Amino acid sequence: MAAAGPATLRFPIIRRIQIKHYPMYPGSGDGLVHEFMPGINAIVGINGIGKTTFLNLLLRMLLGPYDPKKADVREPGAKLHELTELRKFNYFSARIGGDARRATVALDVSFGDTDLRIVRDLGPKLEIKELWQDGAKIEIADDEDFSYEERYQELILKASGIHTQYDFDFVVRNLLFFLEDKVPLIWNPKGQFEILRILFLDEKLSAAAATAHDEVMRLDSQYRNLTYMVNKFRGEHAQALAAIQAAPEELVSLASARSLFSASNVNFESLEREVIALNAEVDSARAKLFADEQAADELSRRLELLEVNYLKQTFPDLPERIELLLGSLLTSGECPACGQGSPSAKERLQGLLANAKCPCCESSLGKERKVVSISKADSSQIKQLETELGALRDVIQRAKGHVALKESELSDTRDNLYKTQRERAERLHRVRSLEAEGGPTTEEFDKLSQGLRQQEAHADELREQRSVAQKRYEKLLKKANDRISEIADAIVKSFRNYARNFLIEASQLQYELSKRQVGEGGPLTNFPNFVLKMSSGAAPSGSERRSAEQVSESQKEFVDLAFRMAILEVCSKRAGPSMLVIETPESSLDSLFIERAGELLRTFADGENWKKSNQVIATTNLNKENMLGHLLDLSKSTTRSQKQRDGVEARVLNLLALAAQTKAYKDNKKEYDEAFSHALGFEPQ
Amino acid sequence: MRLDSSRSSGFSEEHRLAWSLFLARGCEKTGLFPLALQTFHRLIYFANCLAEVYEYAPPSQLVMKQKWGPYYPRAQADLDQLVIMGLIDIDKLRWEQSEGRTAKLAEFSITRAGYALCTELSEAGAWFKEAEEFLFDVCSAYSTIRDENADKATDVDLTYSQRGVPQGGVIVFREAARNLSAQGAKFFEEVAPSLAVPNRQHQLRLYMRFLEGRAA
Repeated sequence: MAAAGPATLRFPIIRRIQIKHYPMYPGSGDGLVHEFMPGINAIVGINGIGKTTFLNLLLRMLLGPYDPKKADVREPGAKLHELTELRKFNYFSARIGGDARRATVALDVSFGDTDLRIVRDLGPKLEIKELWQDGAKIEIADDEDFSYEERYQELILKASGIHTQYDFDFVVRNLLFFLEDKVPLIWNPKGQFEILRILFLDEKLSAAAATAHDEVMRLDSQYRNLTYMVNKFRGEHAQALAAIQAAPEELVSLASARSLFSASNVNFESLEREVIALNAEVDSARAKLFADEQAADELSRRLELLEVNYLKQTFPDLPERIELLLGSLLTSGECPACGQGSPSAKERLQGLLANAKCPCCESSLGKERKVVSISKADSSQIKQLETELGALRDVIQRAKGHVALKESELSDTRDNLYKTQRERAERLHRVRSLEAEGGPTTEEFDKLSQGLRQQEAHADELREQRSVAQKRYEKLLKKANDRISEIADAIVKSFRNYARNFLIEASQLQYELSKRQVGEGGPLTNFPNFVLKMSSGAAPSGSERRSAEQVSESQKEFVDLAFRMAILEVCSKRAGPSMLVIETPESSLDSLFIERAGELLRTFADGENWKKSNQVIATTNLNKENMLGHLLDLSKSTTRSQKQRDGVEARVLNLLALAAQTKAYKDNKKEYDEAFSHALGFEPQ
Repeated sequence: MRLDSSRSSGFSEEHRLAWSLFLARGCEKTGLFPLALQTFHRLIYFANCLAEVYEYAPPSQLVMKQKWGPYYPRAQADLDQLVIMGLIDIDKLRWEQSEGRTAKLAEFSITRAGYALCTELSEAGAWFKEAEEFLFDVCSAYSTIRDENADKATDVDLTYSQRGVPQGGVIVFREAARNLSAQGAKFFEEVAPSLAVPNRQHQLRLYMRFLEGRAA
């Protein structure tokens, strides 16, 4: 069989733990200190004393504050190959109901010949306080742009031979730790492939397969999101199309209404400009007329003064009201009494005065009244003023005509403006009404169609990219299949050996290429996969058990343990010993299977040689099932030498003595201590 | 009689005569008698530009800027006609010629017949009633200006004294934006405390007080 997998592969083996200042594990003296052994290690306790927390301590010491990104806990390995840093990992604080930053845990762990010590606090960042390699403390200067966490990750990848932090996390979390919330690898094809990829493919192929997988997943996700949007667009587009087809008349009406409104608006704006211009023209014409009237008035007063001067020489006592009347009539012929007038009135008055007659009653004036005739000079000035005034009055007449014309134009234009304003408002109202009735406009529909075409083109492009990425991944999977098929027989054989003695029913693994999708929308692709076949009363020759529900609880535990052990055993030929951390293996087993489970684990972790022996760390409860005795194979003999007793005790971490005492333990201390001693096969001390 | 600037030149002869007669009665009632000719034309001017405050249309919305103040030939002819009709008394008629101007000066006062006609007219219709009240308000506001400052009232008026208009130039204040006098009077409404917002009469009075302040 050709060698497959990373050039160097070493699994972590836990050597020692020291917990300080963590109230759950006060220990004795300097906190809880425990040396682990090669082979079987039991962590003994009762419900609520902290067994699960202890195993989580071991796990988090190795993995730090990281979890797989967006992971599905029911299907490890199904998502992207990325880890996410937990901003606040409060698990250990929550367990004690207070701040755990003072608490520290030092874990000694070896990877083949490399020994590491990691000291973390139990605060929300699980910060590494110290890091040791092969007995030497690693110092990081303040000015180095490097954290202990980064240095630790670098060290474990180098020491384990696993290529990425994600891969190391996956192996520890899903292969080496067999906790209560585990997902059985044998029935999780995606997780199973991940383990096979990490452990049995070379670095280049393993990394390429992970990258190609993530690329397909990303494109698949983008394509599905876009397809959802495209389908939504299509729905809107179809509705819009239906609306347009159902109501073409309304659309025509709306377009027509908009066109009419637009025409009104243009007309209104044009009229508005025209009114402004005409207003200015009217103002200008009125101002000119007003100035001409002022000038004419000045000429009239001069003329009136000349006329009145002669009148007053003939009638020195003329009342002011009569003076005003005659002055006006003699000047312009205008009658202040009626507001009208005529040139003949002026001529008649001038004639009467020239013939020494009263201008009012036309009586002849007596000799006693001195009648003064207008001098030649004044006569000449009067004529000149009358000429000027006449000319100015012609100007005024024309100016009045001009003003009237402009006012008329302004009035007509303003009327048009008001009319257009009303028309525009009515047409706008019509447009708004049609718009409110609903139904897209042709412009909106065209825009929607264009958007849909763009989205469809983008979706096609993404689908093509996904197809290319899928083909690339399939090529890599084919190579992966070739490599894994090389070691498949070894895994099948190893599994058969483990399973033979512990399962009542005959069971075996079958290596196959099973088809499944990557993501949710891609084609079916071949993946290497091990399937369980198990005989039963109904099918003595064996049938496939493709889901955990197809076997009993006890069988489930055994099958998955055996599968993991088989994988680790095949790896051990080049990786050396491995470790399994198991949480209360007896929890789902009946009495018969508990004995078998103990035997299975002892078979896996046989020996006391750090370089050769696998390690099992299992928690167990003190109860009648006596898993502890079966784990340590103590149930068959009752008397032991002190050396034997020391050997047994070295493999046991007794949380009853080292963890904070629970009420149940305090209330029943004697019974629990006796039970512990009985389980170990000697009297309590 | 809502303001309609297009109609400002459309006053009939009867309306023009009533306008001048009401103004004469306003002067009589507010102690502005005998009415000097310059004062008559000054009041015609203020009535023309402040009609905007009442949103009324005046007979004229222009004025010629002259050294001796506003002068309206048509209003003068109307006044002469009222005298001939016996509705206005004329006294101290005299002629003056100076600086190229021939002025016919006199003092006027309303006759009993004119006063009675005003009463009759003001009951004849809304236009006459509103015009009579408005012109009384103008005279009343103007009468608050002390005699020594009255001659300068138009010289400091916001419309009449606006920049850029030479002597002999005609100012058209048909548009509200160019009628600075009315804007000035209305401004008091904007700046007054909410509990003491001046009504139209008060706005005219406050504006005249403002002019007196400028003239003093």
